[in-house]
Amino acid sequence: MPNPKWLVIAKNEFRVTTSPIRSLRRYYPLMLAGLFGAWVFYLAPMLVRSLMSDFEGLIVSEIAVAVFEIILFMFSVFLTIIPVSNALKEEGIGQI
Amino acid sequence: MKSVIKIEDLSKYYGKGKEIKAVDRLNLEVYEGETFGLLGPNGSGKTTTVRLLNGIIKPTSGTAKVNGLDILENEDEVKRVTGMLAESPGLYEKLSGYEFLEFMGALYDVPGGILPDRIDELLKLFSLDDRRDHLIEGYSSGMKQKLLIAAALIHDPPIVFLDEPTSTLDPRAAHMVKELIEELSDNAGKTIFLCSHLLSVVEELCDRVGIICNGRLIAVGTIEEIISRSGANTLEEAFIALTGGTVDNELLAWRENIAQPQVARDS
Repeated sequence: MPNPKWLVIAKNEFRVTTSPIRSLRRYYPLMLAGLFGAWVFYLAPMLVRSLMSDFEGLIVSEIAVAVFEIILFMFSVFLTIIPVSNALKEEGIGQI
Repeated sequence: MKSVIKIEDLSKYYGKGKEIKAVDRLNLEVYEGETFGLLGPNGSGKTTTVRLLNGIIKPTSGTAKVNGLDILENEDEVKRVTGMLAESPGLYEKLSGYEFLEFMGALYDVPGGILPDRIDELLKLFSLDDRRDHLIEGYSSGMKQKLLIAAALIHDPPIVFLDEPTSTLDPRAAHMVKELIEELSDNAGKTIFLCSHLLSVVEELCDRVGIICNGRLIAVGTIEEIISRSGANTLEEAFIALTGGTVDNELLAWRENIAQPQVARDS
């Protein structure tokens, strides 16, 4: 069964975007997932523990909900709006 | 001879009052295996005709059958039996030639099992296999054009539309592309519908020619037939006679008036 067209186009956009690291493209999702996991489970907790006292930790936790919402919003901008606007600008497509 | 393109009263009008007649009641038949050239001045309706026949735009009236499929009722199926090289095509410069063909093949639903072999064949046929993994941005104009023709053939269509295939190329690249088109027609048995305003391209490649002007087909036949019917000696003369081209005497007189004082000043 043929792939849905959105998947074909998304795969192509991924290729265009990751063109500068073509040789690493196959490992790129794995590298990203690895870095993300290391940051979430190891680096970020270690950084916070080393920089903050319990009191500062409490303050941060109260504003954490708002910060989390902002981060989610930024994430949605990064994942949806930027790629869509790039596609509309036909970035990476040139005329012969 | 089997007719693979049959156009019946096809029209495409633009504007509020439909006053711009891009294609006007076009009737034409193209036969299997032939190379047909649609010749016309800029803005005569060549590209609109190709876009109509590929189901990219809808006609105002009339219809056409491409490989037995109606362009109004079987739009998607028509796209599967035709390959198209547009006049100003877009290319993903940040992809390699192989990746671009893979993308085009996936868009045309070429099965994954046969797509790599098909791409290899096309890259070899068009002498691009040594640059297959290089980014398209590093290709010459001729190589890009060859890649676009390969992309038009990726789903192995029986009918190929080539809109001004050589107009942006230098003479060497144009010669290369013309040889490729000849090969497609002679060895691969494709029906080729070629649009051009370059008489030499049409003269060299086409079995039959249609001349279109202001959206209307004003002559169809072999080059010899068109020349003899118009009472001309060459295709160029026939083309000018049929499309109403005249020498602008007023413009020439104006140029002479401008040139004379200049000559006087120089002397």
